[in-house]
Amino acid sequence: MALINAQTRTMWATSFLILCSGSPTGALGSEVGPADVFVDTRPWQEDNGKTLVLRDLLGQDLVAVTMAYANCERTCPMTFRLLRDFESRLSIAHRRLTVAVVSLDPLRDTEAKLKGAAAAATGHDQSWLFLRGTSDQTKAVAASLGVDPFMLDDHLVHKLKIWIYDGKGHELGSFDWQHRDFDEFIGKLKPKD
Amino acid sequence: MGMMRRFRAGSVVKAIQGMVPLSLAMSSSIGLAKVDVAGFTEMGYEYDDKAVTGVSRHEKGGSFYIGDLDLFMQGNLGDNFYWLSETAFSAGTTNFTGIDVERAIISYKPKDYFNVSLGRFHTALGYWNDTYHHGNWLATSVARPYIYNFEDANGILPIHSVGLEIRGVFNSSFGYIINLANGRGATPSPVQIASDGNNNKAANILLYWNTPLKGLRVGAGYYRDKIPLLNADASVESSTGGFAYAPHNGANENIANAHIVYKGHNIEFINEYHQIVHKYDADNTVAAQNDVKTTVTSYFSQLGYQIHDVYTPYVRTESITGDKKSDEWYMADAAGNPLGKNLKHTINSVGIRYDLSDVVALKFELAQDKLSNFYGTGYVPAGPGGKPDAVQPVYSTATQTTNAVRANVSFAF
Repeated sequence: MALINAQTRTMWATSFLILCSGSPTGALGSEVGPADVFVDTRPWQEDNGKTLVLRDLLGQDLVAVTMAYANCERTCPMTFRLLRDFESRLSIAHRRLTVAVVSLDPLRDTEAKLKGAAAAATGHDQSWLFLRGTSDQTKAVAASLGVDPFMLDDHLVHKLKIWIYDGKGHELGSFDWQHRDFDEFIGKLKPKD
Repeated sequence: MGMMRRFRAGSVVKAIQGMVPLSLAMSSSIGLAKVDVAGFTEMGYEYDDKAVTGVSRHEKGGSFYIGDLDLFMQGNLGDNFYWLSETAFSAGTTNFTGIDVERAIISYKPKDYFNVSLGRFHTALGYWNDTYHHGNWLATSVARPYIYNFEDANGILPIHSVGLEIRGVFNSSFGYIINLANGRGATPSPVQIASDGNNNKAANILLYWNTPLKGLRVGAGYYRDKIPLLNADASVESSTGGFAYAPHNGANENIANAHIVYKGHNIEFINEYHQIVHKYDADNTVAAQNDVKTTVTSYFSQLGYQIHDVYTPYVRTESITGDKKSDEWYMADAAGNPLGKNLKHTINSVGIRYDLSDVVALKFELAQDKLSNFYGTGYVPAGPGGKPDAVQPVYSTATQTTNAVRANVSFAF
């Protein structure tokens, strides 16, 4: 699992110091501000017609943020399945995960379509949030999460990335294609505040 | 992922700050449009126990190979204008590398239900050709279905077209693609990129429906063209030194196609059908009688199932059946094509794809190709100089069975 994310110079420096001192995953201190995705105050559209600012998710136990799109055939179904698996394991550990799925293709995706894609991949309905924003918002989050989308005709080829944050918006780590040891991650989680 | 490089004027600082991670940002040469660059390629090994003209992708025996190096570029020109190009560097059995501009398109996309493009594109002849393009990594299997071989690789269909394309989709459900293009030339290859052999344009329409059952798509289409035929008198040359066309009405080409595709619940199930009908005059006269008609029928069916997100075993069966008469137009291509009268061509494949990462896949495939009533390559009797005059197609009724083992690593970058 990746321990650091290149989002700000401050984050780089702080993470470097933490790594050097041997601190475990999820040990980012409160002196560091929330991750970029929570700093952005632009509203996202939910599938129920309401709007949401990602900062509104702070205060939850754990927050997962990822990106997907409805017509995705390979990476997104896998992302949804991983999230579902992670959510189940956290539940056993008595931890609660709030999931925000940001549409990579806001021009063509409706939130309902995205939700339908997730339901198709995981087999049943979810309580996850499916968000759609402007093109600029989407690009900013894609850059921040490192999903590197590339439009190839009707396909949006992109990287599998699931970022996990604590209730204060601090990065606890991320899962990607090669790194998805949920049990190890859960084992390193600090107890709930 | 590291597959994208972006060139955007004035965005160096932003990129460094992480707005465009893993990307390279710099001014484009014209300073106007952002250019997204990606690519696909494959490296692999193939063993064929025989080498059959028009069938084998490699010589008899085992060969390491580099597949198409496919460079994909696109950009947003603003005001709903977009451009796209796909250039492939490919080596055939001769080991010489050729460069083909596979696609070059400028598009105006004001609405989902109305996009218009001009340039060279993949003809909308079904599902595969308009979905996987030249990216081997995009498809599950190692090899394309035989019916979708490219024109310069003994392809039967007009895979590429140069002209106009209008496409759209209504509510992400009903889609249409209309092509108006140069159509085919006097031979299956090359594509008529810059000069059409006649004034008749090929017209094509494909309709599809993304059904309420998510992942299930059905579609059908129809392609119609008039193919200019070469003059039987080889001594006649055109004024430009190119092909000399016969003074008659050419051959009518009609291609009907249909597809049913399901992708969902880890299943990939692709089924396509094509029927190619050629009509032309046996006596090559000006008066169009269209007294010769040949029909080639093809289908393939591919079924894959994804296990643990990364393993996708698959099977595919393909069939191409010729007419009672040989379709001599296909034989006009120097590369040759095995389409003979009463042709029976079946290919069965089984393989597995293993996704090593987001953008790297390892594939392994076993294929058996059975061909009977076909044209192979032979030599005419030795001439006065003692050397064979030329390579000539030779009709064979024997059944030729070829077994192949293929493995590759395909990726996007």
